[in-house]
Amino acid sequence: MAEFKTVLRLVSASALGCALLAFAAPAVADHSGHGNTDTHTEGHDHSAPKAMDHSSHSAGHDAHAQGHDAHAQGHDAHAQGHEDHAAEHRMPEHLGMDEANGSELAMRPDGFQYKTSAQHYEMPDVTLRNQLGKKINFPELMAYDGPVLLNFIFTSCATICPVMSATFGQTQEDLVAIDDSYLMVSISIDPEYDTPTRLREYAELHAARDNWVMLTGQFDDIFTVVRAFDAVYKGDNKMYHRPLTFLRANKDAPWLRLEGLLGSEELAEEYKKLLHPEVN
Amino acid sequence: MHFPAFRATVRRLGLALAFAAVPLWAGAGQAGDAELGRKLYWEGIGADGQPITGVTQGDVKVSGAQFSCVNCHRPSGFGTSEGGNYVPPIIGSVLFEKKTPNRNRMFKDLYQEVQPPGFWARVRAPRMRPAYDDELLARALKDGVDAGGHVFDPIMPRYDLSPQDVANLSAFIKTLSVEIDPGVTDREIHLATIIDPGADPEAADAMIRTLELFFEWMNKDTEGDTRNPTFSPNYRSNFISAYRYWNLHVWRLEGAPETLRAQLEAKYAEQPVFATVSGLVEGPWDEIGAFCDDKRLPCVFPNTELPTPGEGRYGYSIFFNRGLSLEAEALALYLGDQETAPTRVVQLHGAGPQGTRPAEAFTNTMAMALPDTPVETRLYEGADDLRSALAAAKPDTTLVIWPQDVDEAVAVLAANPPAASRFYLPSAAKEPALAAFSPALVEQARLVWPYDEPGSYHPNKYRIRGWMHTRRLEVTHPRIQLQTYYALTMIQFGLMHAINDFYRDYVLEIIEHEAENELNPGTHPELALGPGQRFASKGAFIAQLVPEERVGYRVVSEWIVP
Repeated sequence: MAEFKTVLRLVSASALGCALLAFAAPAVADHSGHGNTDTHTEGHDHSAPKAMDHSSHSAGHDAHAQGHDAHAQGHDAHAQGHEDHAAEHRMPEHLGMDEANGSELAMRPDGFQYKTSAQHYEMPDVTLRNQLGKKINFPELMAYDGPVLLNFIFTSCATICPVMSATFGQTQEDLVAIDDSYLMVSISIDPEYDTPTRLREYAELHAARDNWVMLTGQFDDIFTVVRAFDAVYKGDNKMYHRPLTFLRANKDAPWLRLEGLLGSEELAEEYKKLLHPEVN
Repeated sequence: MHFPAFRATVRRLGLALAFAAVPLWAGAGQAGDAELGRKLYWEGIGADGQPITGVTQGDVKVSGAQFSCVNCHRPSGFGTSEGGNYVPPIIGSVLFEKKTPNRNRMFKDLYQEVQPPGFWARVRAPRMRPAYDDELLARALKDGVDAGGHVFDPIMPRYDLSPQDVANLSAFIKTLSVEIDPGVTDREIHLATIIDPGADPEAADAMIRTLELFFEWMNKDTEGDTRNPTFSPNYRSNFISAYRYWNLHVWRLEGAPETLRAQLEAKYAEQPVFATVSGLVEGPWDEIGAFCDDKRLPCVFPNTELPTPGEGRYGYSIFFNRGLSLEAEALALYLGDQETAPTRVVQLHGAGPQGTRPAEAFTNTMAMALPDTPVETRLYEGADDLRSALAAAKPDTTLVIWPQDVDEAVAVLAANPPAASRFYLPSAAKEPALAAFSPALVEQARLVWPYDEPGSYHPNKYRIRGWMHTRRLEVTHPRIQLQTYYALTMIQFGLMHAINDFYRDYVLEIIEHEAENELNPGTHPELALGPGQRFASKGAFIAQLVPEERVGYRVVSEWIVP
């Protein structure tokens, strides 16, 4: 089935990307036009007015360097904004208005694709716990100088996590074939329910290898990490979390942020491109 | 647009359609077994007793053991929304009818929650399709093509199912959410609250006051909104069919524990209710919980310290936390985390479930957390027995007390200060201990505290207090009254979202989904559920008494989650 699917790689497919963007941007803008910012009780449209802004920003150019710097800067400012909220993160985050959640491109005729962007994230100094109950200093774990694949999940999640975890699980073999030095990290965003025991069962369910670390921890520490990866979701309700996957080639490389659900072949392909960019 | 899409589909599926589908369709006429269909839907087990397999996201193989229909389509069959994915309802009455533009049906898909634009686009451009039959259902499940020829989202797995599996599933789907659940008439929705014989009468009154006031204002709103339905900002007139007057039934139980079940059955027979909300139950929830499960009756956030043991996944009772067992486990972990382990732990417990259940949980968790520390457990019956047990405590003893009667235990402690340097009590001892303990005892005492710490910020806490004060509600039992208010908002949100689909499973699913929103009344650090989860708060602090401060306590540990 995978070959039938058109994956729109906005970062690499420059010409097509720009052409489509020209169509997509007005569509997004139009859509956000009726964005109603309050009264979420009436089932109204909540698209973010900033949607166009953001998507065109990250989708912009295929040359990483130039467009990227500007983006990283913008992102820093964004992260700063979140820091200010950190102490009171239960404050209703202008429901539906945060640009991160609005960044998904509005419907495209061909439907399904994931979006890629390169990002720099600061690893926060928190200590989490792995599936064996051992304390893990997060920046130390992330100081590992090899490829890392990371996502956010929770074990009772019904819809997207099982798919994301099955994708991680199945792709392990392909990743090993490409370069087996990788580290896989799944961080629970339901840390109090996802005890080490539950994470161990979950790891077993998805035939996790030893280099797949599942992390839980104190609620606030977990959400510090969520914020660090700009993976916040609406109303701090985990049920609204988004399918995000993060890849990185080594400890100094930027993170490749993948928004949307991926197939196994797609994930392996992204991993391969990341490690062996000359192949493409 | 439909026709080219269909052609593309045929081209894509190619030979698979031509060959593989034929034998599948040929068998689709056979009779289905709804019970086997349920097993497939819930457990991913096919008619041959093996886990079914499928492919999602194009090439990710999944087995029924990893996830099955119920994950996304939920127990009610109404579907869900997660991470911007829209999972449409698959109940028989939707699936086996053609889908046409229907404004009122569409409103039900417009989840009353924030979603990314792609989700809204998907919902607002509903795909019309003819009705499914078993052949089309087989094709949909196997090849991912709907009855109108549209290709499904890649997240919907393409399953390798036998004709018998499809027939079974079809039979089961037709049983999902067929008729609205009992307790709802055209005008009213009946809700009950359960009070057991041991409940403190004043606390029960405080709870009932809160319930009645909330019902009164709900009904005032309903009256105002329905009186002039043609005046319709925000599509209000479209929702007229969803309004119901809330009718509260207070189910006061009496007598011996073994008679409770029969009393509940009798009250339910007299007036079926759609759900129970809040409640005040001193004894174990077990029998009441069994009643809720048997009747498939949502029993939403009762005030109880003895919820049914176990995880209760997908059960019909939803609790704030695991009560005294949680307190006991958190305490054992706390002792295990100390730099120097206690040399000797003596556990005294009362004879009833308030004493025995936490004692058992404490013993088990201590065996894991501090296997080398001896725990001496002693049952006491009555004040005299407790007094002599306390007298035996030595200065190096760490005392843990799980009273059956908290007031009695506090009084005995106050009159007979134990020699132990430290003693621990359950959270329920806070108020009597503040009133009775000398400064020396306050210094010796610690509480397990499965609630929030002082001074934490919850926006809804202020809204709720404002609501209570402006309506002159007498707040004598703040915790119980705030928890009751939370239970009420859960039912309110659940019903608001369900619109006029008065199905209990559906409402429960909405509560699971919404519990984590900004509705926490400030009683617990976090209140959150997830699919199948039944305990909204999962941990506890250890606290010390601080009589000179208004709140009377201060937490001295991290939030401990067993």
